[in-house]
Amino acid sequence: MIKSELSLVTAFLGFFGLWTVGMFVVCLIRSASWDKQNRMTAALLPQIREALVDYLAGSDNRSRLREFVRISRGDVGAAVMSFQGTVSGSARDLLCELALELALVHDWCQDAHSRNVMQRRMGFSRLSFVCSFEPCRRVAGDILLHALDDSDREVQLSASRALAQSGGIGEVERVFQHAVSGDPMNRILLTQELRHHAVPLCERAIQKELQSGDPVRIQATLQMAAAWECALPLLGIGELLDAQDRRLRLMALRLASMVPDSPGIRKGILEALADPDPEIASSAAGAAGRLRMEAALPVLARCLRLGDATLARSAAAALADMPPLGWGVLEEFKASSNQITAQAASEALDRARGAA
Amino acid sequence: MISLLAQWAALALFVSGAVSFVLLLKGCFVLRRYARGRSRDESIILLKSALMPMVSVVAVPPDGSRESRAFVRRLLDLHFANREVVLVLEDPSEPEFETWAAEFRLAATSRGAWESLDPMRLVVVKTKRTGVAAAYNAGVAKAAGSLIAVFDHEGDFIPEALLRLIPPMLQDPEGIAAVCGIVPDFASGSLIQRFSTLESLRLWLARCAAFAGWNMLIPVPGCCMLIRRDVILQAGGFPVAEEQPGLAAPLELILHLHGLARKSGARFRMALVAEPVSHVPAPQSRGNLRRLIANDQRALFSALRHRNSIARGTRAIGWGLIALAYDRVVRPLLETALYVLTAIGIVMGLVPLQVGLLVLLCTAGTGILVSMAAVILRELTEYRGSEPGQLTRLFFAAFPENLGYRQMRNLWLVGSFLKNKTR
Repeated sequence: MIKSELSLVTAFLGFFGLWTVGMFVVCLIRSASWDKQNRMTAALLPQIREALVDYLAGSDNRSRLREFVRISRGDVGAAVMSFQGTVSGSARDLLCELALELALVHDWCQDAHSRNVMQRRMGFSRLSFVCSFEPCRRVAGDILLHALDDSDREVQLSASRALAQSGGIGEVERVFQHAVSGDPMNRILLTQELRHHAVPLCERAIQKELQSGDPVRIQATLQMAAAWECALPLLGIGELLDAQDRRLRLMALRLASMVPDSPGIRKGILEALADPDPEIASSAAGAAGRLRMEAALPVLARCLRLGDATLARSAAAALADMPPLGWGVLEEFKASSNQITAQAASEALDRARGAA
Repeated sequence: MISLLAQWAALALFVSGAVSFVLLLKGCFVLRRYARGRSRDESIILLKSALMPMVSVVAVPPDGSRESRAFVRRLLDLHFANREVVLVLEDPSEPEFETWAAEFRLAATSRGAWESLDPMRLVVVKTKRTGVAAAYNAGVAKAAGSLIAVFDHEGDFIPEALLRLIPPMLQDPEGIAAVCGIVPDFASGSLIQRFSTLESLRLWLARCAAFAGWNMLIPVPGCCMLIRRDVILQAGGFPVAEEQPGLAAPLELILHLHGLARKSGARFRMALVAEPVSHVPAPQSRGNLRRLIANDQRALFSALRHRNSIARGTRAIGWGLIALAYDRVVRPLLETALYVLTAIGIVMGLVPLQVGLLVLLCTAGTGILVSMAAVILRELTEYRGSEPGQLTRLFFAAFPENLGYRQMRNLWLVGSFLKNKTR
């Protein structure tokens, strides 16, 4: 019996051993080839970037770039993309024009149709950069719009970004709806892209969402609008300051100082300042400070005196925004026996005087 | 009789080796799927976004030592726009609290806590020494964030850890209630480092990735976690008391959450973030390696000892906890006993030499191939290759690992088990 057991185990281990050694050789070859590719890219990329910089600086010699494209199209594409965060305006247009001329845009359009998700993602992320240039957009056609329904979220995101950068208001509204109905991650990533369209979005798309009656969509809309941190021609925020839903109320308070001022909004802020919930009171303090509501001075002083560190800091910051009366209150509280009050008042005053 | 017993035991160990390989393979597939679905790094946008939820990092340091204070400093240095650190001090002595207060400029608040006067969000809570779980619960009660972050002291985490951990929770806020981030250290310097790397590779592929694939992921040494605060509160907080800070309390909490979900049919999923957010640095000395193994053993043993406080007890994650207990206690015990029994049997002429060979093949032989497979499978999880020299060094380290270190490690595991049992 021991002999058969031994031979069985040996056979299993032998087979397993062969597989392991075979896979090890495969991995080793793969590593070596990756290493070689990396070294080649490391040597090539600075040269391509240099040639691109020359081109952007006005050099008309494109033969060198064509030679690079012949050696490694992928590296040229990567080099073009590495300028994404650094060029804008006419330089960006020049770069996009070059990508079109070298047929890189056509490659990326093909990649965008690939069944391989990694390739598709790369294609769309590159298209999202070049589609701000109208001729490139024409080559891409409806690919971007269709990609909003792609099964891969990364592809959807790249397409949304591209449309937010270069699309008309109808397409931007569609991206906005996509962001509102999507998950929080999508919303966070698209908020900055949609900021440039904040005013046109307020005219129709945002009002429509606020009137939808769906608290989840309303909250998502308010979150995005508040994150834009700019003045918005938005109506109907005053009613939301009294909302039963705490999250909606907090969001409305954050938006209160960004929308057209009204007595309803001021009343809502004053009521929120007296709220026992410190987070609501803190948000209200922020809004009162930004609106320089002198009527809120007594309540802010009370928050500074009795609130926890976060509320005290918010109240102090709000008072610091309201010289000279607010500064007077802070001066008074600098000598408070409550360490947190004194510290918050002192810091806010120092900051305000420093800024002045 | 002894010969037959040795043969059966050897075959049982061979089967368990084969099961280990299946787990590694499953882990490899899970990680490949993860690598395919991995989004590009959007940390910069997440860092600047005003839409990020608030995260409260809860820390329960063991003492007021310089290391503990440095650990809290590192937590305060985490990059995240909307976060606070809730530091829970268990019954600190007057001088110890003075040290904390001086280091972080603490001032008492009206809420029965202390906050830093420096421009950082640090809340300090003092509790009675009634166990680490109670301390964590006090921290969660004071936390203002909707997400609770817990970092293992053993782990070396990057400042962007929270930004890298949060995406799965933002992508599926209803489905994913917790995330756990860890990668193995791929060091291949000294032999001890290579042994440690092989060990962490097996742990990462099997206990992290494969278990995540079956929704049985539990915290591992060196990891960092994000857990939804409402889920912790609904479960009644951290379930049991443990004497020393470490991985035990978070491990028992996650087991409890898994158990509750399985019991009620509710959704609970802890996602794995297989990105370099945190890792356990490969130890340089044998003593440190032994300490790391003992710490992990202590946390697992604590969970087993407190199984009555955990929903569904040892079946909280199905067969997972039982398999871990087998791997960490039964297998080393059986293997050690088998070596002794076979050696004595051969000396006394009761066991033929062929049985000795079978034992060696089923233990060390299988172990060598499993370790080699771990190196290869880890390589296949990535779409880019490692440095060839490093790969070769780790691949061949499987020989000395299983012909000497493995046997010593078995003794450490058994010793640690007995030490925990008699405590």
